[in-house]
Amino acid sequence: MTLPDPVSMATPAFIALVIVEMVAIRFGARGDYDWRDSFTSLVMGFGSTMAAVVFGGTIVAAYAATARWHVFAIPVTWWAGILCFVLDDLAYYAFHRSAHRVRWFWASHVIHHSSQHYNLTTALRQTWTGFWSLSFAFRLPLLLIGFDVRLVLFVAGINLIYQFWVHTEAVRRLPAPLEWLLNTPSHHRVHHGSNPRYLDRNYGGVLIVWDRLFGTFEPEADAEPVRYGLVHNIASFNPLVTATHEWVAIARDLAAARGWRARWMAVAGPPGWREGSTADAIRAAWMTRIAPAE
Amino acid sequence: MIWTSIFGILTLVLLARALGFARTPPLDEATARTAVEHAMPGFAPVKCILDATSRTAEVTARDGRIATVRPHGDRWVVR
Repeated sequence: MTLPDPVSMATPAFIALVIVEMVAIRFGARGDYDWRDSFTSLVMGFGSTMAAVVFGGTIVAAYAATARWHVFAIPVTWWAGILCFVLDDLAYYAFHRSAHRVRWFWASHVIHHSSQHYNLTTALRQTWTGFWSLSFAFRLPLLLIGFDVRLVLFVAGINLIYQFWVHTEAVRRLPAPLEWLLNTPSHHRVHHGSNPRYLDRNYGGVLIVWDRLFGTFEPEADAEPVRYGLVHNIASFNPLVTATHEWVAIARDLAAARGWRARWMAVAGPPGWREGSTADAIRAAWMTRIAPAE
Repeated sequence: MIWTSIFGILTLVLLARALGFARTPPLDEATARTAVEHAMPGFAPVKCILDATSRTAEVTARDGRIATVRPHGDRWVVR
């Protein structure tokens, strides 16, 4: 059985939806664009597809090699597809949470959060260095369980496509049952927030139930608009700077580190560890200053 | 495929410009103070100096720290 590449099929729809959102915002829908910001996002998306061409073969080979150690022999059927999709989304949650908590993974993922805007082009602002961050490794358990490589790649594509449309301010909230179950534009706006209340929350890809289950869910508060971007925003639209700035910062911190613990934390500690401005520290300080007054 | 992608990127960027998403808003004191407070939790601004063109600002905190605010597209960055 041959499974299609869903991302290639969806790309024309991505472009069409960006145009629809831009025009809708121009005529009054909620949201904003900046041409310079969109340029960076789109070039990052283009570079990401080029990186996939370069490293895709190696990743598929790693998946095929891992699949030889499978525990079960799961056929490519509709029920296996549903099961694989749900478990892949759980694997995505694990990847995404790690990508915010471990600086080596963050160095790639930070690119996606480096825009101060939140629109459909932000969805396309993707990393060029995910291969070096080993992001593909989080799906290896699916292959060890026994899901077919083709099925794993297919559901990963579906997951990626779903996450495109949640990057918009134009959609406020979905009906309550869907807001409970799914990652929605509202939930994902929170994820892109740099407000202390919103930092490192809502990691879910398609299902938000993982965040509810593991204690990382935060609803969007209408009284506190989301401030998009990073705590310390980058001051460049240059795609090369955008792609590499955190790797450069890691190298700089490694060079300045005194002792092995400092070196280890520069690479594998939480982002902001050296400056004392981790998400946990920022939230704790905010809780002390603000929350008691609420 | 590469040229199609480049054409698509240029089309979307030019469309964004044509639709007016190309603002460079002037900076005022309130905006500068708010930007610093958001970027540097715990920073308590006491003084703000805008440059002559209202494009950048220097904000001083109660504890003597100094932050600069400058434009980044239609947003601001703080250092």
